[in-house]
Amino acid sequence: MMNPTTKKILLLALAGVLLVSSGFLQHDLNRDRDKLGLTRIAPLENAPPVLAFTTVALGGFRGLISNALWIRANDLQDQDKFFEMAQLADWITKLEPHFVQVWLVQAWNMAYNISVKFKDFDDRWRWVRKGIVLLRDDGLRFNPNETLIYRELAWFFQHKMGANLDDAHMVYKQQWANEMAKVFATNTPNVSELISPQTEDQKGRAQLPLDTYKMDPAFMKEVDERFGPLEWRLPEAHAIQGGRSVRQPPS
Amino acid sequence: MQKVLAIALLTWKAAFRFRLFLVVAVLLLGAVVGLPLLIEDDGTARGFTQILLTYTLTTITALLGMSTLWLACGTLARDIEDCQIQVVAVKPIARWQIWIGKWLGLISLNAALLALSGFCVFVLMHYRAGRLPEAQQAILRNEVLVARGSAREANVDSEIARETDRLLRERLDRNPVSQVDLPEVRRQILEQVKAEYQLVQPGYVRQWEIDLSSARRSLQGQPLFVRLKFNSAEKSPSGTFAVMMQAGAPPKPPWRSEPLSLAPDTSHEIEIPANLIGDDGKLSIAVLNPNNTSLLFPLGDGLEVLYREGSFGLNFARGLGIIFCWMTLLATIGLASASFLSFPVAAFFSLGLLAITLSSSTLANAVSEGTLMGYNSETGKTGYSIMDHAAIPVFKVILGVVNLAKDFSPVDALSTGRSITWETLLRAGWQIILLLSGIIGGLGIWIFNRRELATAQGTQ
Repeated sequence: MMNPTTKKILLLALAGVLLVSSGFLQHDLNRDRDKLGLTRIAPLENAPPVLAFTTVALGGFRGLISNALWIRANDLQDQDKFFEMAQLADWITKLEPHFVQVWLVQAWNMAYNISVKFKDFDDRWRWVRKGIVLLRDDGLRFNPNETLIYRELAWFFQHKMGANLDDAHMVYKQQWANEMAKVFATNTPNVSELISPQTEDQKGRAQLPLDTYKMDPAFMKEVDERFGPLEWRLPEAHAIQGGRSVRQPPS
Repeated sequence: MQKVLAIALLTWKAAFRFRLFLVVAVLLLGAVVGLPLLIEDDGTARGFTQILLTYTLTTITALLGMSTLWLACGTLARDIEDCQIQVVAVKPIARWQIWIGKWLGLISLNAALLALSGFCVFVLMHYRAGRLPEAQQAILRNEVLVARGSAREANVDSEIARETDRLLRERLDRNPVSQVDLPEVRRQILEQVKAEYQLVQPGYVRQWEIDLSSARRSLQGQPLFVRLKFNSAEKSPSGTFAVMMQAGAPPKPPWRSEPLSLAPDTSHEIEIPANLIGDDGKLSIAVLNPNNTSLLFPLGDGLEVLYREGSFGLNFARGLGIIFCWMTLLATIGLASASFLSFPVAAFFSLGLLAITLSSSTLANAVSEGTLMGYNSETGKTGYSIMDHAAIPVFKVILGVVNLAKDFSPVDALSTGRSITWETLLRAGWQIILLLSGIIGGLGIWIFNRRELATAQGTQ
């Protein structure tokens, strides 16, 4: 008869070995799934811990939970509780990161429906920006080949910011120009200096489009040469870039 | 009283013995401290407060509510099932004293846990508020972390009713008819009369006279906030409508707003300068509609003036007071159900009651539609079921009772900087503790008094 303590230690060790083995096996399984074309969507990579946990741990129940959250979010929006609603929208996208319509609807809601509920134009810009950031930073991160997201992003730039439909459109344009002024220090935007920066200042600014605005300077140059020269401080230039990405997503 | 306090003390000891106090306290503090780390606000004062207060206070209410129900059911039902109550009941103490003692123990436990978690929320909020940008902190101080009273136009319901009756009489005199659906005709005339008060036609101005005489002295030098809400039958391409405002009346120069771009169906707060209240204590506000379509300002919510009434700290304490009233009701429900049911059944029964309370919006919907079968907006027809005759009156009664407890929204009021008055707190105390808890508690005591405690229990 084995000592109970020894038995427990052995079982724990066995559990550890099996866990590590399954980790290796999982890697091979994922590779084979990819090779054999069994994966409709790529596994989540570089996902934050909360997202990784929810997508794996909740399995098929994610859909039900996100449905319930969506209903709640609609109620909150009707009650003018936009901040709480935005939090739920964030959770819904985390639960369904590969469901493109979720990203599109939530971003549209923020940029178009919620933004106009605020009387201060700076507040409106905050919500329009939130919609853009949601698609650009998160939506495209998990769905880099989804053309609808590029299209929507281009539409936000061309229609919401570029057109004069919203009373606050001049504020949007000004705010965007302020942001772009950090990328292009001179009055004439020069994309080439971002591709091969020479000075420390240029090197610092060259990182901004990549890190913050998810814009590849080489791709910008390509768009600029084909359709330009473009004034990159105007939203329309980014709409063209987004539209171009629909046909040819940047690598 | 000593006997009752002794039982209350025993309930406290049981809560510590079962480590319930410790576990709930840790859970509450974990929720209060941990939730704000998981939840991100958008960096604005309103977003920060709404998110922080809503999530932390809702979590506190849910956690404390569940633990209260559980403990209330357990403390009495388990004592009866384990025959421990027999040891107490043979002592020179009345049954009602045992019941009240346990109730006092539970509600004092709740008070302690609520005070602890409430204090943590308060400190955490002020700590995190200090990290907001200076401009947002100013908004926080003036608009959110305050207790703001509200003043509206004098109620005109009686005038509207008088005018409706006059018009109805006139029309009946002019066109005498033998058969007419009088209530329907009156309803239509009523809507027409109401529209005259609510509608602002294109290019027209509507004036509001808000009586602030009771608070006039304390409002000297204080900016006021006008809360506007309107509806529109037409959609604007931009999603907004232009509105212009003027506040104040001669001899003082009035204040005029720039054209405001406001969305319909949403409340907007507009700050107006201090010292615009007239000598008669009335604030005159005019709203111009420069659009090509009419705007409808509902009689109740169309326009109200918000003014600083007190500090946030006291308002927060009153909000916690209302939550405490809810916890007291839950403790009473738990104890009352445990007076005649076993622990699992009592817990299930209490949770069932809680579920009914939480689904009261569904009940309200059925009552407003007059049927269980719902309203089809596409065909414009309301469904019918034979069950409606029985269910709808029952739903009305349930709603009437539930609304006595649900008629308060401390979390909403706190997160929007609205004042929870002492009157509201007293009303909550009266409706929830004295009336509802009193009736349910009385019933529980009566049953507990009549129950045979020494019969063989199911678990023996």
